[in-house]
Amino acid sequence: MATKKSKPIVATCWLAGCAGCHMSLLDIDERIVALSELVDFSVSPITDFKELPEVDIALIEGAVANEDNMEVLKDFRKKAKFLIAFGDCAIFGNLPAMRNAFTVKECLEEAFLDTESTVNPNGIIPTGEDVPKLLPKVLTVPQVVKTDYNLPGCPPDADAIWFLLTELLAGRVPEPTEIPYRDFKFD
Amino acid sequence: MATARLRVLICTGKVCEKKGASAVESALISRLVQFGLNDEIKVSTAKDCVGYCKQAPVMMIYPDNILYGKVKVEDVEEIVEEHFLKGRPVKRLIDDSLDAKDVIDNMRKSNFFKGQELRIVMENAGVINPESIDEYIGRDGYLALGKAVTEMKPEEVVDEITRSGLRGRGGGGFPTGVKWGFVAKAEGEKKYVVCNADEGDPGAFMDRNILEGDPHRIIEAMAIAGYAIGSDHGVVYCRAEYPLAIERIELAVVQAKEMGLLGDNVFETDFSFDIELRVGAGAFVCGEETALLRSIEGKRGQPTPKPPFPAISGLWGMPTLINNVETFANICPIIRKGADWFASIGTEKSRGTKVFALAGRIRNTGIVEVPMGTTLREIIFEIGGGIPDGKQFKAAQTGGPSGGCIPREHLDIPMEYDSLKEIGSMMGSGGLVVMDEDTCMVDVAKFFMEFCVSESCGKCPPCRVGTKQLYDIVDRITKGEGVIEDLEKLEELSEMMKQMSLCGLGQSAPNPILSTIRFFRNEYEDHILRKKCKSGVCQALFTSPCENACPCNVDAAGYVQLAAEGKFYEALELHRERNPLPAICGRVCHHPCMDKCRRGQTDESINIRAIKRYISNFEKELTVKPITPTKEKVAIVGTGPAGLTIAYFLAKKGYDVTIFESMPYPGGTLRFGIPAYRLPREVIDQEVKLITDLGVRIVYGVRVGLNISLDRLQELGYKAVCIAIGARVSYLLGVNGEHLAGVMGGMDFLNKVNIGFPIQVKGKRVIVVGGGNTAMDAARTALRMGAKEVRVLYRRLKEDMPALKEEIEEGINEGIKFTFLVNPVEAIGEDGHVVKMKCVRMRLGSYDDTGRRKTSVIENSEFVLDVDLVIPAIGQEPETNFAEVEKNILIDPKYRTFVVDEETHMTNIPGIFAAGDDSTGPAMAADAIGDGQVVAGAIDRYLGGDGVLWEKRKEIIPTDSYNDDNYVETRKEFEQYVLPIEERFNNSTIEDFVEVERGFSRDQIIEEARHCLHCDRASLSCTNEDI
Amino acid sequence: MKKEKITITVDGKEVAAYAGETILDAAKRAGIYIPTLCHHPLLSNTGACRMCVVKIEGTGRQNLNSSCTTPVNDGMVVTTESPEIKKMRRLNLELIFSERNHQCPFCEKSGNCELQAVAYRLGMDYVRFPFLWPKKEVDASHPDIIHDANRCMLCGRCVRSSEEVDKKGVFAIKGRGIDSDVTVNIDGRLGDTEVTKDDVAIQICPTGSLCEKGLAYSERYGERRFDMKPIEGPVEPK
Repeated sequence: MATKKSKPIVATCWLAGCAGCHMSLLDIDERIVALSELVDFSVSPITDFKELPEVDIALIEGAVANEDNMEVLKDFRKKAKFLIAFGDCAIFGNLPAMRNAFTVKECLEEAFLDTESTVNPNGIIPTGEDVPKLLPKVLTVPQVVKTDYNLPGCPPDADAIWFLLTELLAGRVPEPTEIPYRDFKFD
Repeated sequence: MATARLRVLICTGKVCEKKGASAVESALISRLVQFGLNDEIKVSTAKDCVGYCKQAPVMMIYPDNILYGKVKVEDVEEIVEEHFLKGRPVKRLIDDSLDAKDVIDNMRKSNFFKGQELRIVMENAGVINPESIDEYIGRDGYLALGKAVTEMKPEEVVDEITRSGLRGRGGGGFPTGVKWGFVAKAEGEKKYVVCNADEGDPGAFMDRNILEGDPHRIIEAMAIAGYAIGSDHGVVYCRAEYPLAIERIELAVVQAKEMGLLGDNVFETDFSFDIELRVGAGAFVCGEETALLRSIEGKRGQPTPKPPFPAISGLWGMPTLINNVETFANICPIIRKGADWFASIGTEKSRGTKVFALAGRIRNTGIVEVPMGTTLREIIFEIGGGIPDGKQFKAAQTGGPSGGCIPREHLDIPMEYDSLKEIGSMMGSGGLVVMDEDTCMVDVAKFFMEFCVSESCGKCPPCRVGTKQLYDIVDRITKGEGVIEDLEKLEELSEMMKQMSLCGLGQSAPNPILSTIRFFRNEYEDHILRKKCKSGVCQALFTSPCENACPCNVDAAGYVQLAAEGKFYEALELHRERNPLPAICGRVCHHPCMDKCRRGQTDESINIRAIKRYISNFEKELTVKPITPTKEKVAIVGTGPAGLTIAYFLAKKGYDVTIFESMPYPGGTLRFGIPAYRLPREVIDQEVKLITDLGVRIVYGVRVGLNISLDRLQELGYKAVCIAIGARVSYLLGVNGEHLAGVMGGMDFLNKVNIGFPIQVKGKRVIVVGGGNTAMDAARTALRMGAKEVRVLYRRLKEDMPALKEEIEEGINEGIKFTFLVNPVEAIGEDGHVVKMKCVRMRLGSYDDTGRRKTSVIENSEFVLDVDLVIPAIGQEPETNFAEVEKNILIDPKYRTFVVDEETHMTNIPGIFAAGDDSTGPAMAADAIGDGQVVAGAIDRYLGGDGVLWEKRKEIIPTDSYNDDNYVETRKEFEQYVLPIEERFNNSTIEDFVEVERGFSRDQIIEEARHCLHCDRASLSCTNEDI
Repeated sequence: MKKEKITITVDGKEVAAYAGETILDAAKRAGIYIPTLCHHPLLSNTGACRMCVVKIEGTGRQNLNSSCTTPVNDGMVVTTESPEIKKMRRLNLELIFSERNHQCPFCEKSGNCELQAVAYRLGMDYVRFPFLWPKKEVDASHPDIIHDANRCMLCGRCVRSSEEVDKKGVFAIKGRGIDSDVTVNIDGRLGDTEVTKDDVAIQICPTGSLCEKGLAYSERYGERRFDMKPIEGPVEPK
């Protein structure tokens, strides 16, 4: 992107999650205009870049559940100066990690064979080269790569996101306890 | 008691019992009855353990002080007839490791007992029948109690114990007298004395030994404690796993009561004391005093926070004195002989003796009692007899799962509370587990963590979850899934558990992790960064022990199994995937693979080197297609094993490789350092040809640094230059006269001879100094050149020589003379030529860190040998000056090797690498090949490649042509044809040296290979799919 | 009983205390917050959860002591908070979170949970250890109560309150180490006991392990106990 050189670049991604954290990012409402003055947005679920450039700030939503998640996350870590685990799934595993109490086989059978609503007379569990393989256990982002910040919440409160981003853009890294109490939550 | 002429004691400790002690006992009794000796010779069915378990079952004869080991029922007749009737001790039953010249009194003369002459705690061990109170009394038993209650005030007893300096033997080392004082002063309507006999450390059985062997000692001491602190009630808390100890304590209490030594009005005084026995279910945590007390109260055995300490609020909320068995075992002698006597033993802060249970990789396992402050070195090498099977000592673990490891560099640590604590271990209750080179320290940490996970009581999260998380992290590391940040995480969590856990179990549980990281960080890094377990323990990191041990990572299990199928070409291909020099290695490799071969644990290791040599014969029929270079130009300096390996792998990767060799022939040290009778020249040429056939160019007669500079090479477009010229400069002896004519370094001598330099050896007296392979090569070469006499001088003993065993044996066969325990001190010359060598004799002293004994000069032992040629072969270094001068390349000032980056293997000058002896220092050929692989990968990465040289084999090699079950039990003789001595000297020039080892036949090789146990299959059959 | 008054120093401040009381009680009276989990004023103290650890100066020991079990002595000098202590408590909290299913978004205790509230107050932004995800039974046999062992942190509050306050002795700890569990009448079901939803044991569970049925998500986000203001101490029974 050939824009003014001084603007920091922000990229976001969405691994095993529900997009709720991205919605919350949009929930900063009109402040998004101010934000777009301050930063350039690069790769994100709503853009179509084929390759991730070097970025200043990366927001990672979602847990690491399959090989694709793993690859994307490692690419982000390589190219991001400041990587934020964004939301409960990224930080704690949350809903995607509920399957960790079971084996992959049990999960797939439950999903594709055993539920009453399933009609699958040939008992096929989908596989294929273009279907990323599930990891034996769902991992959190900090388990896979070193994170520079973790912002919990399901989703993180829009005010917390705004607070964090403005602090970072001002060159400060706030302690978690500096985030206003009402905005630092696990749900 | 009737007076007996002899007394026989048969140890029936657990180990002896298992090995048939009671059968021996009954056989002996019936035999004595048969000879009518049963009055004259008293057999104590002394169910007592002397702690010499290695020789189990053991029999001791008093007053002869003879100890028979490994006694079988069949031996009884001979013992009775020869020894008891004729007075001739049976020598063959006396442990030959005991260096006693005279069999009489061998017990006291053996190192095992000599090192522990002073026994306090075990003074009655092996002497009395523990089920007889009379025998105990006969050895001053209950004298101390009598003295205490009739002659001393309670506070005097406390004072005596305090002054003795006795500290708690349970592990913590709290001053015992101070503790007694606390309880004595504490207020309570009732007070208790508790003996902690819940010994739970893996590998520790000191307390059991005391309880089983001398129960009255504990009872007496508890009564003394009761008198001192004002208690009338004692409780022995013993774990259920010690049924014999429980039985003996119960019996002893009954006996003591019968004699008025326990119960009401002890010694007819006002003092009364009773003892009850409580049996614990064997939870490790119940060794923690508060958990132990809860268990006695019938509650869940979980610790409670301190304060309040048991001294204030213990059993049933009353002041309670808790001491460990061994602590109590020290009390009576202190009262009997006085505090000053006790305080004179041991060190300033740790008085008295300590009992250790020696276990693990040590010759003499068993119980030993030594004065505090005895060094670990003395315990392991003097008393323990060192490490078996010629292995190297690696570390000792004290304090069980709560303690830490002590590495080689701390062998001289005095065994006392404070010094052990300083290095991150602890005295603990006395478990001492010895580990050798085959032990992986990460695995050790994992083992102890696993123990702590299952023994954590679960009350507090730091221990309950912390041990589990620590275990999981270490477990991942042993599986090759660790990351380097894990080390920091381990340390962080360990530190937290030490500070936050509720009781001693959790606080000390991380110690094994912290101490292994502290002393063996390199092993953790090997597992994490290089995915390598050098000890060959962590199965997930390698396919077979032989492959893991090979410095060049050759898939030995693979080619051995292919050879077993007769698939020699395939075997050769598999070998050449990782090492292009099988014929060379098949002759000169020091075969570490065979040292780790698991077959060796049952009969003999598979002769992997012989199989390698055989399959290499098929190289002659091999054709290699040249590879057209597509990548950068690389220059290698030197055609030794390292240089050839790098060239081979880089050519296969598509690089344009040129080797510069200063000599007119290839091979480097292989050719000019190793004599032709070990490695025929055509073998070298053959393998070099296969490498040049790939497209590698060798430029002969060009000495880099002399004929061409490193700068010039870089100018010519060589993107990477690797120096691999070997180490050929012999070390000097550092004695007067060594610059005389006729004194020539070992490597120097071999080089000159092999180049064809005219050196006159015929008819001369030659002295070779040193014990390594170079020394043996020089000696045997000199002999072949017609020397009148060749003598090797070595400052230690034959078994200490670092040279390959087979080389030493052949040298002896050929007539080389050896003088051991000598060192040259001066070369004496006449007209500038050496004529005499002045030497001194050496004596062996204490053990060094490698388990060899240190040498020192014997005063006035000088002697002179006549000599014409002296060859010092005590080591060599690389000739690296040229690089230092030309390009300021960093050189290690001591070893003269290149300083290279650990990861990139590059010197401080970009694009210039060093490999083999030039970076590692002098090593074996296989080590140079292994380093060549590493550097080849590094050069590839430097030039933009992935650095991957081969793929791991994934498939099992099936056993098609034979049934491997047939080869499990049996083993055939496997002898190779060796050139008869008389044919070895028929040479006129050095090129005619005939190869001594002649190899094996096809049938022999197949037969041998079929004995492989397929260790690789276990790891190959387990894949990720199973998760 | 007449209590002897003494003075101790807490975080550099002189604090009046009664002989025999715990450091925690004295600190609380002085307005100093020390995080707790297993402690409850209605119950005896066991020092199990280790959250309330403090440094007592001059003991010569390097380890920290639980303030809920350590009685004050005259002149005692105590540090309740330091970067070191904070770090230790934080690690301890992470261990507790990693042990079982302490995932807030799908827990009905969220917002009213003491474990969560302590994590907020300590600023626990992630857990550095992998979650262990054991698979425990959920006991829904009781008409009014759900017992979900997956959310238990083994603080032992239910065990103590059932015995000491409710006088029913229904709960106990079984197993050892990481396999410890709260058991009901030795492997029985809650529905077969005389426990009621008004029992203190049920009311003061600090996590979502023991919950009253029918109350799930009945309070709105923002209106729950710890949504707007940080935790000060253990929750009280209704």
